[in-house]
Amino acid sequence: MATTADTTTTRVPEALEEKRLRKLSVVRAKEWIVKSGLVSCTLFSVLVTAAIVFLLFGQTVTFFNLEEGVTLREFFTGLEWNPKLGSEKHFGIWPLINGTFLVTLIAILVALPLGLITAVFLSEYAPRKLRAVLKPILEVLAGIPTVVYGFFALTVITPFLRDTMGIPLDFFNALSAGIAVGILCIPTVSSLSEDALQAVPRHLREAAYGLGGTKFDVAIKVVLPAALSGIVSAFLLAIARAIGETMIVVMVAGATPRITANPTQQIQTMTSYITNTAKGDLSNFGVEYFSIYAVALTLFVITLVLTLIGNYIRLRFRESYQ
Amino acid sequence: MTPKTPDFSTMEISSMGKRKMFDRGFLVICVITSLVSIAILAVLLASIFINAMPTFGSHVDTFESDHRWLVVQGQNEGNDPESVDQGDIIQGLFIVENFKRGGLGNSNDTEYLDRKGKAVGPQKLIGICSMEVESKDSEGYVNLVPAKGSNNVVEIAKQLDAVPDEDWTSDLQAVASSATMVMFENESAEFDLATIKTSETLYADGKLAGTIEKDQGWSAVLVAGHESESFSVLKLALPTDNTGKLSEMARIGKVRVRKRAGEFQGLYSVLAHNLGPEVSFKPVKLRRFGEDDLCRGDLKFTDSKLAGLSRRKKNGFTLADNFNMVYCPVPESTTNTAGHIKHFLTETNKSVPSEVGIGPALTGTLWVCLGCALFALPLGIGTAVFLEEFKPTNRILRFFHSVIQLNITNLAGVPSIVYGILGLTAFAGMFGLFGIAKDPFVEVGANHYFQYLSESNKSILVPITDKSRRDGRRVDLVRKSQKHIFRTSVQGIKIPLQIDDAAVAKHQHFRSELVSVEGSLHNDDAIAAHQKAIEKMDALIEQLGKAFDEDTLLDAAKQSELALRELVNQIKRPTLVDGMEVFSADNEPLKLNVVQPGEDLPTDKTELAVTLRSTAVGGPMSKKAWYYFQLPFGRSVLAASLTLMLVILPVIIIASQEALRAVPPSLRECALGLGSTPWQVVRNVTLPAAIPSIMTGAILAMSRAIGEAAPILVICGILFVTSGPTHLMDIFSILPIQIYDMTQLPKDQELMINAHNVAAAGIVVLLAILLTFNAVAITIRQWTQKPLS
Repeated sequence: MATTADTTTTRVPEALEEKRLRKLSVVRAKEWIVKSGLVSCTLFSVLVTAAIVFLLFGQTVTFFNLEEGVTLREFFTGLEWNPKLGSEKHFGIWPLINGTFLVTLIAILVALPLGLITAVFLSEYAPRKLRAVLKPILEVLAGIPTVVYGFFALTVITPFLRDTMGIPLDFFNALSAGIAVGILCIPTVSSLSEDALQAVPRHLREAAYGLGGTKFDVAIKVVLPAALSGIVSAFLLAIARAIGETMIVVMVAGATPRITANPTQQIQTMTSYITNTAKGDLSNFGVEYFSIYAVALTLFVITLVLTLIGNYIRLRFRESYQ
Repeated sequence: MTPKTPDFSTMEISSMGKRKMFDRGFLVICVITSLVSIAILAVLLASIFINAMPTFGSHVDTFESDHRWLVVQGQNEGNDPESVDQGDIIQGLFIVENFKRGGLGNSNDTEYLDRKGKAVGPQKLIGICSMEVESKDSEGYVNLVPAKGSNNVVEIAKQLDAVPDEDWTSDLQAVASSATMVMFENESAEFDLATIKTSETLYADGKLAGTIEKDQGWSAVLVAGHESESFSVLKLALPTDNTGKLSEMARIGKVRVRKRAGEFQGLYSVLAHNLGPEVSFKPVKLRRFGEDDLCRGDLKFTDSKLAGLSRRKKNGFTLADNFNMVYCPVPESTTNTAGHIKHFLTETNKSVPSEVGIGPALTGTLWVCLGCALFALPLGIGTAVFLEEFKPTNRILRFFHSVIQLNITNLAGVPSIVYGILGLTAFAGMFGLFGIAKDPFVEVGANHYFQYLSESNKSILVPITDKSRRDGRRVDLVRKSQKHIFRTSVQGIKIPLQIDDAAVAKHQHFRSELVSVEGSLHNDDAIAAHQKAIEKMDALIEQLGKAFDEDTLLDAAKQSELALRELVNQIKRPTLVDGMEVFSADNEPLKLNVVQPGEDLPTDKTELAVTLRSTAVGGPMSKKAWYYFQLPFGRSVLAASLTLMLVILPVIIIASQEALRAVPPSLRECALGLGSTPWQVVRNVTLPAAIPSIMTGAILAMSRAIGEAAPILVICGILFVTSGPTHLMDIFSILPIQIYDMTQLPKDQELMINAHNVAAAGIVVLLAILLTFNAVAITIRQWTQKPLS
């Protein structure tokens, strides 16, 4: 036995022998248990997706079947959203979509140019050391909780625009909310775009330089087109994020659903409608309660489509340089 | 595809100088843009720190209290503010106006919370006072002093979080020593709380209790006042002797309004304020209470009576004309403790911005995030390991594998608020499968009691038996039928003649359910009230079928609602039986002694301690163990943790996958070559190599969870809690939501700035936590990152 420990030559095979005996009986079962555990972990994520889809669809169907009688037609063509008890209720989704897209549009106008140019700068121009400092700082922006942006918009952006710039803003308005959401999206755009730009192989740049291109030529005419798929998908992800953003619009944009292109007014987005209506209330099973599911489903579908397109573009149009 | 070839023809034409200019120009634009991005971050941080300075910075010793008082002219109704003149006495309610904020008012058991714009609980309070107009200037400002003769005061209750019994009592004694106001002169009359409707409201909350000392010849404490469905005014009626001085008796603890053990949620406790003669008010302007004065949380008046609090201006409550009001700053100097960082970090939330603390929110954040990590880490890492290390070889399975992979990528793009809704329905409400959260289907580790104050100030807990435990469900049922009636009636007005068979059938359904409730009632009054309610409902339904006179309909609906509400009150009260087994506050078993109206109280002190009047009213309370568990989860820490888990799960999975992918395949192949099974490879080789990166990703995901507010806002709303959670089913608040709550403040400029300062301080704490997390993540990455290939 191993107790003698005379020579390694006798010990090792014996130990191995012992182990093999155990393995044969146990290891397979163990392997199976572990694997099925991991499979169930994985299936959980599928379950979550299924739950989201079934829940939203199911409750939305309930919403359209309620006795109050909201029709699909009213929902998709109605131009008024007024679910409050007491007055005549209207459930046309467009004012909420209008609010959402107004904020998103402003956010994109802020985030896309800033984010993209920052990405180009970081990737093509900035010295390596500067880049090592700037990139983490931008990522810090991405990690800041959204309530902070909401607070920033409320205490800095709105007063600045109203008092310093002289724009006649309401206390709650779409403009500040949009700008804050835009700031929030800058890191998403810049970080992902920068990754895409970095992925462009070095020899393309060198070839362009060799042909006598300036830095500008290389960056804009060679690298940017080459990384376009990644950049577009970054844009789409940023847009999806802007559409789904909640706290900032809840805090800053107000709660008046309306169809308007005027960003100085109060508006309401889909997300802020959901938040303001739900707020932990489970007791109300009226039409107002079920309407949040219909709105959430709309929101879910919009963001899902954007994400899918983004992923598709990234995978389909990816330039590969092998 | 290959990138487009640069257009050489144009390049040749454009001069070198022009191209250089482009190049430089673009560089400048790039630099400027990047600087702008950085500058935004700098401004953001700077603005927050500047805002937070007053809270962390200087410490103010004295200040004019933020509490303001609202004098509502009560008894001298009809007086026009303009006509008030020197020497006039204004008698009315003094209201400590510290209810400026929404989002207050919630506790586990309170039934009064109404999030749909109705009144909130009495979180502020009120006293009665006589003030004399000392002088009046040309602009209509008056100087008020406590009126002579009826010598001021009063009793003001205000929102305090936890006033210990002793303080509380001594405060009241202070009042008693100078208060002479007798609200109920009929000293020999027998007041019985049960006959005073409003006291039920206070009792039903289980927060306050008062009794009448009729055997001492005077009415010492009376809980009475104006009442609407959720607003009560606490009045103290104190005895005087012939000379108008307070009788000695009052000073020695006959005042029996006190904190009830274990039941203070910090919503409303009562503190007495002594407005001695030395107190005078600054000049104030009397003015009519106009509609514009209403903001959420203000008082609501109907028919000259204080009817409650309106939460939103929009609700359009009508105001009586003959109420005047005046704002007076309370002339007290207090230590502004907000200057202390410790105070800020440990104290509970207050409705006065400068006194706000974030203690419970911090603990809540910790609980929720720990819970979230506990669920999300194993699930996320497990999923990642499966997806990366157990890649299927089978073609069909491979397809599923890629579908799951795509699914996870998409899950990461789902807005967090959608997860919030999922959590609301799946965790907090459990699809309604297990009843409602207030009356859980499964419950472990809780004892429910009705709490009474015995005849000698002892707290007595009457256990709720299984049978009466279902009271909650009955109340819910009654509520539902109420709602049904209301909806039916409103709808009936909107679309007359559409009260079809379905509506009647629904009514019949509720009716039969209510009748079955009747069978289990053990209280004659309750049965009577119940029958009345059913009659009303029948009458209503009959009317719905016939004429459609709007007023009659609404009236009938209201009547029925009132009757049903009465029923709710009745149901909630258990019958007290002589010799019943009850418990003291320390869980000692006692035998109850019940005194019928008209009987004498026992003289023996020990007996008095377990004596209750048969008509006494108790408040529900629960004792919950640390392992308390219920289904559905309700607005609990657990529900929130699970929901946050959903939010960060995709993030953790993706980060872990990337970490695993970074492990060089040669390591795996090596291990496999040595005869390891796939799991052995994972356990002994891949995971150990990848764990630092996985941890980094996980920590970053957790820092996202900490800052996430939207899903939790959807699940829990804004809860006003005064202590951190103690079990997984506890209600809680988290830091981001408290910050959000603090920004939702009044238009009042000064208060708003104050609130913003506090919110900024909260943000600084939040950012500090995040920074710590990030630092830990980076440190782990730095220390453990070894080249593996």
